[in-house]
Amino acid sequence: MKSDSLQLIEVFTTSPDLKKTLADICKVHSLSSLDEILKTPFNEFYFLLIAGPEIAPLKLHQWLTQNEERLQKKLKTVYVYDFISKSDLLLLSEKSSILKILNRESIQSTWPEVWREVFTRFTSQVEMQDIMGRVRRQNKTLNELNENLEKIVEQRTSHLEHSRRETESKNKEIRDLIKFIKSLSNVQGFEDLVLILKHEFLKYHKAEAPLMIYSLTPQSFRCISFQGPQIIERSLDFEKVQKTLNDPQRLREMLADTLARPMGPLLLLSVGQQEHQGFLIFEHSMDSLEQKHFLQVLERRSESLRVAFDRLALKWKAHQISRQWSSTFDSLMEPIAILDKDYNVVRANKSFSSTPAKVCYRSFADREKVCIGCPVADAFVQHKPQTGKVSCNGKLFEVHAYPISVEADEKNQHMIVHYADITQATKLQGQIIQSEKMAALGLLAGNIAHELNNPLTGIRSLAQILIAESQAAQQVTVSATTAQQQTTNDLKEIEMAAQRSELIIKNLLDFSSLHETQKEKIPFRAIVEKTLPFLKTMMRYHNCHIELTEDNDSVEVEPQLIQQVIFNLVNNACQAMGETGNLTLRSWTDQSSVYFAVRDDGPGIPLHIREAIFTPFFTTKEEGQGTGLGLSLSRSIVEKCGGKLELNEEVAQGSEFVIRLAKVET
Amino acid sequence: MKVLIVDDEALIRVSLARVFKSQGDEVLTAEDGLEGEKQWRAMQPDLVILDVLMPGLSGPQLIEKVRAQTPAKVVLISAYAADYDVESIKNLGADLFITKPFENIFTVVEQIRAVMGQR
Repeated sequence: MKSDSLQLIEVFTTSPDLKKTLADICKVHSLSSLDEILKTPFNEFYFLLIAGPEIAPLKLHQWLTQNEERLQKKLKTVYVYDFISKSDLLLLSEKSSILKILNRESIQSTWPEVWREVFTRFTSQVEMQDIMGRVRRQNKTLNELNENLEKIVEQRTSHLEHSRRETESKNKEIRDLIKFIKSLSNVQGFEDLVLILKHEFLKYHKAEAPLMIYSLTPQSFRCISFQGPQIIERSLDFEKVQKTLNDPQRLREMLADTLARPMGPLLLLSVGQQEHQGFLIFEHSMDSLEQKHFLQVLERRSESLRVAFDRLALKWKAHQISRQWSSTFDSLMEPIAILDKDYNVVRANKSFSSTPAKVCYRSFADREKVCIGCPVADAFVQHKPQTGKVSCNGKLFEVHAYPISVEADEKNQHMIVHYADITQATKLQGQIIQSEKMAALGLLAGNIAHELNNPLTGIRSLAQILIAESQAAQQVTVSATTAQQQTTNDLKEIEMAAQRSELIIKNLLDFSSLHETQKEKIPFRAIVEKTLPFLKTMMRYHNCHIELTEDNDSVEVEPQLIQQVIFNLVNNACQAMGETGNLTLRSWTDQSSVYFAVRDDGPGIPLHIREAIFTPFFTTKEEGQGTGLGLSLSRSIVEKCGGKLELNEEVAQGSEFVIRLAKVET
Repeated sequence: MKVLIVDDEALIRVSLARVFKSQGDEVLTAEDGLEGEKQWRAMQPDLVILDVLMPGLSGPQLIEKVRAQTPAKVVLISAYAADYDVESIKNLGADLFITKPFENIFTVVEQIRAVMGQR
């Protein structure tokens, strides 16, 4: 097993056998001193030094120490000794790997085996060293790779750190933006918007608190600005603003003018649109780079600002429209309400009711049940407008119910209910009916009167003849009997009754429209006196006091008509008193008027019907006893003559009606 | 003189007849126009007192039928005073127009007698 990589250095070898054996295995250099080893090119080889007992261990150690670097541990030693101490041995092994320690005898006697053993150890050590060398080299490569890896990791880490920082700052920006948008979403008014904006840009020291110019209604601009912490809102001249919006310099001048202070350079952001214009204006002292940055930040917020402005503008308009609607609704004179299916008042105008209650019939009519004639239920069923008549609180209403859908839901229908007060119209209609009735009655009365005149003329004529004959008979027979006289008197009564009837018929004819009567100047006294005969019968059971003024009491009227009024009033008074009572007819005058009062001491007129007594067809009399026209007709007659007919409210007992007419000079 | 009273109202007939009779005149009465025409033609009265509105024939219609054949004075009585005046009465062939109601029957008779030239 001879190897080229093995060279044997033999120093002080004495045995020729050994030399021979060694030469069989490898190249052997025989050297005479240790220093000679250094002269051999042993860099490429491993050496086995066989040191004889001539070289003291201490000396060997010294030499090894001195030449440690040059030997590079490539020198393996087989030390042959005669005697070596333990301490020397330790010393030597520090500096060189001692393969085997031999004594002289063992070299000589057991040489081949010993050598083989030494050689095997040597070889394995060399191999080991070789492996170690490779391991070292690989370690080195590994180290280099490691170092590279570390560098890459470091680079990557720093890169990551950078991008983390970048992300963080971006995140912050986004967080800020979200916060800004969130705060905008809570904005309730334009002032809030400006306030939030001021806050948002507070860190930009070179930008002033923002200004806002906006236009929600045609031909008007408003401006919101800060004066210190205070917000000031004012209106601007529309024309002026419109002209300056496209010209920063003029806008600056206009604002300086408006706010009455000098104005720096401006940055302007439009946040409005066609129907509602809006501009945010920042006064600033930034350089162009700062401006660029500022504008970037502003630009990122512009979309949400636009949305917020748009929302506020729409909200304002909606509010405006709603206000317009409710003020229109409220200003309507006639009651209007919006009801749900259960008659609950969803909304009502001011005329509807002053007492708020849940359901309409309670608040409007003060009832516990739905009003009779209410068209609402019907309109809900039919889904069509319906009309009905409802009377409440002495008034008559025509009620129009219009179904509407307030929400998109078809089922959730509501009803607009409109109450038209037709009390007056109904009254007028009543008067029209009445006057038509009167015209028909007049025509009828005329015919009846003529028909009655025939028999009345006969009765009266015959009575006159019989009276004449009776009187003639009494003159002949000087001693007229009481019976005869009584007959004559009775005949006179018949004649007078017929005459009264004729007069009544004449009055009836006068009263009916067929006979136009003329106004004349006549003392009121005379009219009363002319009327008294008709009243005699109806006043027969009552105590009648008549006090007529002696002053000038002339009036200009149609006497027959006033007679009719007096007749009516006395008739009413007598009927009110029943069987007995005191009736007073009284006239008096003042500077300008003539008064005539008819007073009775009957039960009087109950308070609750006082309003109604002058209404046509209102009557307290039993059916067939009165038409309900007397007082209304009487009042219209007196009013036609330019006077007044009123109930004296101050009378405690009974009732008193007073006619007042203008006095005229005769 | 002979007086014919034509009126559908009984009491008027009775009253007028009673006054004329009491003053010595011959009186005949009729209840309607047709009856009146017969009487008028039959008895040839000196005076005819006629109601305007009557069943059968009205006063003016009766005058128109009989007038030419008789010399009698004719007095018309009506409640519708406004319908007639002196001119229209003459045209109808009547001599006097009296409106109902009468104030006094004796005054009426006196008026009639005046037309007859008796007073």
